[in-house]
Amino acid sequence: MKEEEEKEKKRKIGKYFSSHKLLYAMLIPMLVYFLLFNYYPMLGLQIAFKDWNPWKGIWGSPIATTGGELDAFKHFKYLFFETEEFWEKFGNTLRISVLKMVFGFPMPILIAIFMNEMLALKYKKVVQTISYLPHFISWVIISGILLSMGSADSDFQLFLEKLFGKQIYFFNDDNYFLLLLVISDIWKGCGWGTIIYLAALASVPLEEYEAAVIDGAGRFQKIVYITFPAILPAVSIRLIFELSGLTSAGFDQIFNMYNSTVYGKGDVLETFLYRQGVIGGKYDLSTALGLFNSLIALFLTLVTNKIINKMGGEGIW
Amino acid sequence: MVKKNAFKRFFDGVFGKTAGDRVFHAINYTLFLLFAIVMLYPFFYVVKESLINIRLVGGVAKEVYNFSAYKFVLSSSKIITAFGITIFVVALHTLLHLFFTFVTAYPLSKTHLKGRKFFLFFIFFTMLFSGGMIPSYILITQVLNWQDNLLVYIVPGILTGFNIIVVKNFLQGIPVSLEESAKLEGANDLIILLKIYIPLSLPIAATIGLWAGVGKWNNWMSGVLYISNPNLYMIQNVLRDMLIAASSTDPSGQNPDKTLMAMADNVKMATVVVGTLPIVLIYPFVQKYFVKGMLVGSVKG
Repeated sequence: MKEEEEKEKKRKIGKYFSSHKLLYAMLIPMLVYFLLFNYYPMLGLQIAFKDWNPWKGIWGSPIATTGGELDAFKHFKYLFFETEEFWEKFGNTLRISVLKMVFGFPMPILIAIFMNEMLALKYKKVVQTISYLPHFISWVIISGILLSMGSADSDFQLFLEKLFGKQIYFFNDDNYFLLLLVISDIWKGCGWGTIIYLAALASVPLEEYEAAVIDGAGRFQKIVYITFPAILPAVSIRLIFELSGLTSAGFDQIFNMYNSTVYGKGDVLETFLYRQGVIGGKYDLSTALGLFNSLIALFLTLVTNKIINKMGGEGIW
Repeated sequence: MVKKNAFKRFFDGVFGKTAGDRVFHAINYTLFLLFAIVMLYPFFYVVKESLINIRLVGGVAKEVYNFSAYKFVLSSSKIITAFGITIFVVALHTLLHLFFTFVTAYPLSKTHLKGRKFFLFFIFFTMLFSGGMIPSYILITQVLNWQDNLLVYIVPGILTGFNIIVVKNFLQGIPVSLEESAKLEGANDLIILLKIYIPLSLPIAATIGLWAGVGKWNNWMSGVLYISNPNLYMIQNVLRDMLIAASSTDPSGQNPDKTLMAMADNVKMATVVVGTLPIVLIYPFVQKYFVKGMLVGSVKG
């Protein structure tokens, strides 16, 4: 009896697959693509534990050794304990991320709240459209414009001279470079960041504001008791997403803006990794660094998603 | 009289009725005007710089405004070639991205599909974890040998986990009854996808197509990592050599094109304008798709 049931089951499964052949065939490009471009590089992470040999490749290179003895964690030990560079770049990464978060995070919230107060709807729409624009400009172009604006005696420098009494060379000084990173990051992202908040505000019924007016609420009270609570869920979700990106300070931006005079505070883990790996050819060491970064990012994503779910919000899964 | 009332209505509608309201709105509008100016200033700056031409008039250098930089840009074969390559890559990549994303998302939108959970996790995991820069670099340079090959622009990014899941969710929302009647007429899944599902998915297709297209237009990293022949540059790499590598402290380790570096400032800025213009021009018309996409992205997948 049992055997027959099993046969029947197998027959059914076989029938399912043969009648849905095309559906499975449609998944083949996806499987090939992700295996090659995502999973193969993940296997490539093994060189973090090997001594890279360019003639032997990922699989043929031998496990890392020190003085003839196997030492798979050699590159990690070097990074964490034998060089100060790693911790310096790690500190720079956190400093830049935190600065961007502290000054950049509140901006779209403030802009959205005050945009929401605008009565001239056409004007509001135009301002919105303008504010989204920088989001679509690449960091190559932005950095190129800023380099030109920042060069001696440019129109912009003359303007700064009038304002502060001197020209400011943003690309030659650690602290001004940090200021430049934070300001240009806000400029690029603050308009785009309002979208999620404005969408939340669009769903607040007008009657709520009208009822508040009847109850004698002023503008400030309406903002505190109606507008802000309406965007609060979006704010907490955005905040947690920001936290999960703490170890990436913005590679595209920094890579196109920095130079060796601002390495002191401007060089971060990812730019350091690029120079060690792509330019220096130290594939094993820089892969160890990359693995460290990927694991932290994974950990932060998992933790923050858990927090969102606990709060009753909807995480990403 | 009537006119005056209309004006008053308009004024009250924009500035409110009480004195306090009027002061608030006046300040608020002014602040947003300043905000808009700050957002646009770098664009003004670029346009102005691109028009300045320095000419010797009677032995004295003088600033003259004209379009000579644009004439130069539009006749420079290097820049024109880069534009041609960029347009070709963006168009082909976007089409392939859309095609493969829909082909992948369609079977995954069928909840009866056996093994669906596995496939979804297979995709989802690529969003959580990656091999990082160096293993991918080794893959492209030593396994595939795609240096100085246009494939390096076109193929990577042809599928992304995020877009597959966004489209899958959209397709799941389309009623199955449409599909069932087509099946009775003998249509297979591929035909059903092309003839029934895709025509109903145009908004989401526009959204992810625009994402993919703008992303490629702005792509510079592939060129930095894998392209050493300036004749194969995309426009962002031309701009990088002109603007950033020319600042001589660029630590990218790239070997920039000397003729691009040496171009005059107004030519550099004119190239920025020409390289940004396509985005600035289409953007107001397609803005709603981007906004929609941003919101789709923040919904659970």
